[in-house]
Amino acid sequence: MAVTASGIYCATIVDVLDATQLAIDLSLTSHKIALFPNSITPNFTTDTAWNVSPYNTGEVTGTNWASGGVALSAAAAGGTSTSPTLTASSGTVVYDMANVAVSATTFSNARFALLYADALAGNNAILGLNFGADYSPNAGLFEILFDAAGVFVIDLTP
Amino acid sequence: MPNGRPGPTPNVPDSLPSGYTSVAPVSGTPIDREKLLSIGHLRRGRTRAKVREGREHHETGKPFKATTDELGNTTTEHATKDDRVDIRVRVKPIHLNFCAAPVTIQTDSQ
Repeated sequence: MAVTASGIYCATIVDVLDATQLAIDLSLTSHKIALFPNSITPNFTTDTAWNVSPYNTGEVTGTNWASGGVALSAAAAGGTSTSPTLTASSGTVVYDMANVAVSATTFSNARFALLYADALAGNNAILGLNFGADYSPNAGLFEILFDAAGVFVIDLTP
Repeated sequence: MPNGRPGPTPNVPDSLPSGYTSVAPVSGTPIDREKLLSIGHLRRGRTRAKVREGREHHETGKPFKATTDELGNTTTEHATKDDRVDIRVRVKPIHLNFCAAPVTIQTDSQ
């Protein structure tokens, strides 16, 4: 029972590509980032959504980080949008956005971030990020710095 | 033998230098004695948290202590009334590859 990796949720990708035709728009700023402790065990094959097991218990909340998380539209420095983008380059698809930086936050033991589609009725899980350790800001700035390569990179021409 | 008793290691006295106390019997294994007597024994790995201390302004700023752990994530503690703690988490990109099945081309040689 623990967080061990980052990943993209297979069930959501299947729903996007099969007859379900789930309308995930990765450029939306209404997607939210919710935080969870190390007591959950993400399963990137079977997990489906926020507020569905294992994301229905133990969510990390606190000052300026409410249940359900923070929307990308207000997650960057100064309460601005992280402006997510999905672009194609040299045979790869890159999902990127500005760093998350939320001021005056107080919460305890955040280990995992779940990005999910809050605008969809199903709150479908998009991706999860493993922090590798527990972090607890106190009336302080909480930042998630993404790599220069992007949040995720799909190589379609390996 | 310097102290008149044979030790497990030649030319090494079978007693600790003055001022040192042993948690294990002096008659412990030779390896324990080597650890206790050695100067450069590494008790922990080389990868440790890096700590940087200073002031937000060199004269008037509040003191802070920034600790960057082995994951590259930084916790900054500020000496403020509310004991402010900032967190900076660096996440690695998720890399995905689509592995297409190998294509076999058959030709009719007739």
